[in-house]
Amino acid sequence: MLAYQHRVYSVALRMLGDRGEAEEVAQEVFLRVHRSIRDFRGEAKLSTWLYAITSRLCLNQLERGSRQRRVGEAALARIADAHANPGARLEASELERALHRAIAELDDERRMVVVLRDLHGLAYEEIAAALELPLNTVRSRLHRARMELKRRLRPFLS
Amino acid sequence: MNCPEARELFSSRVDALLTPEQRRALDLHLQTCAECPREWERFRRTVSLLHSLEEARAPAGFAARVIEAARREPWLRRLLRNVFLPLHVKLPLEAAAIVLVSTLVIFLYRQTPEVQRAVEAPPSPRVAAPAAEPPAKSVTLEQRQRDLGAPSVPGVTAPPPASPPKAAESERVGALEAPREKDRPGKEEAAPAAEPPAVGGRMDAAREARKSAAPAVEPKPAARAQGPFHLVGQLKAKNLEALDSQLTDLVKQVGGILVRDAEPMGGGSIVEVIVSREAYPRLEAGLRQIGDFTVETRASSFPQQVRVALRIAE
Repeated sequence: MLAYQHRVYSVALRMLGDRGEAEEVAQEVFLRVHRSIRDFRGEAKLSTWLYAITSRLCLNQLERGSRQRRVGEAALARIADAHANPGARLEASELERALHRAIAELDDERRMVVVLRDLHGLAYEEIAAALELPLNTVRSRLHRARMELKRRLRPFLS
Repeated sequence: MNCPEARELFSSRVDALLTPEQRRALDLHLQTCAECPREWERFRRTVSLLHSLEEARAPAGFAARVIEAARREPWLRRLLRNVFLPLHVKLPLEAAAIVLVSTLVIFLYRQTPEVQRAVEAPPSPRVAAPAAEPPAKSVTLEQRQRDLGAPSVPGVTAPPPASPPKAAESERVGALEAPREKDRPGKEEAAPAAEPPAVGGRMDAAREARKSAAPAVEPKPAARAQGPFHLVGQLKAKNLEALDSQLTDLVKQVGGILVRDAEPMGGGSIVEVIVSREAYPRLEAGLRQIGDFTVETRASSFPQQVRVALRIAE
């Protein structure tokens, strides 16, 4: 089970932007899985189930309103820094920083789809199952998110 | 295909989800459009950058902290989870178990007279109050015979109960020696615990007899007053066949209560009569008319309610 710890933590950190909160959410994910592992009927992949719990907890956390403080520039920079290794932080390219920032500036629902698809490689169907969304909605959100990222990164890509 | 239509297909193209026709149409547009190829290149690089991002790693000790937190789960939540989850499995099983146990309890209750007696037996005082007694009642209770068969009552040869409590024995002895002391209310409250157990089979017969007999057979709780006998006597009836009715009439005349077995009175039977102290002389006189009455054991003085045990001889 804990083989998934890095994946769960990574999603939580990308969504919440705070190491402490990400660890709390990741811990809660595994506690919930521990409590209800007997309910898992194996119809979906275990990883999909874990991503479903993780995404639900993250979105709930974001909806509580305390996340508004993260809109500021300083907060966005912290999110970018949070994903860089401390040793490599100074070497992180401006493009990578811009990418982290652009991801952080996506709205929560779009960010979640991009994180699951492009950072964790889930199939469209897995994302639809984890987020309990229609497949077309997943496809549409992902495309909008990628287009928005492209627009934000345009100065670095030309 | 125009530019917006082409750009809508960028994501599907990156993920290789286009149909061959869509792919051909998009490629054709990219070859002929001036702006879309650049947009497509930016789009492709953006997604490529996203794919290149490294996964963050959970902090050191995270797994250990999760395991520790799982161990600290509140006991109540653990208990509820273990008892009820998964609901779709455990709830029907638990309901079936409740039904099964209930059925078993009812079955055992019906099949075990001792349990029925324990449930039905009312807490009764040692001596009934005169106002609460009916003029004459006939009660079936083998217990009376067992009481009389206790070793503390000399001259009575009825078999002793299987395991009579010692407290019951000492109370019977004490009653014959000092009945006044036993009549105190404070002493009487402890009496029910000293009652020896009755025998189930006979109680069933008695219960059936009470159900089918006239209401006069059913005693009020007061008539079930239990405790030591103040007088034990032997009655050798002149006419055994008429004894039942004669004794019933006599007890009725003296305003007493007759406690007897469900079976017809005969040699070896033991019955109990409860009369007031004032009415006892009339009872004794009547008994001497019915047959040869001999007093075997007698308390030095009688309380207000006198309990008389009669051993019927052939």
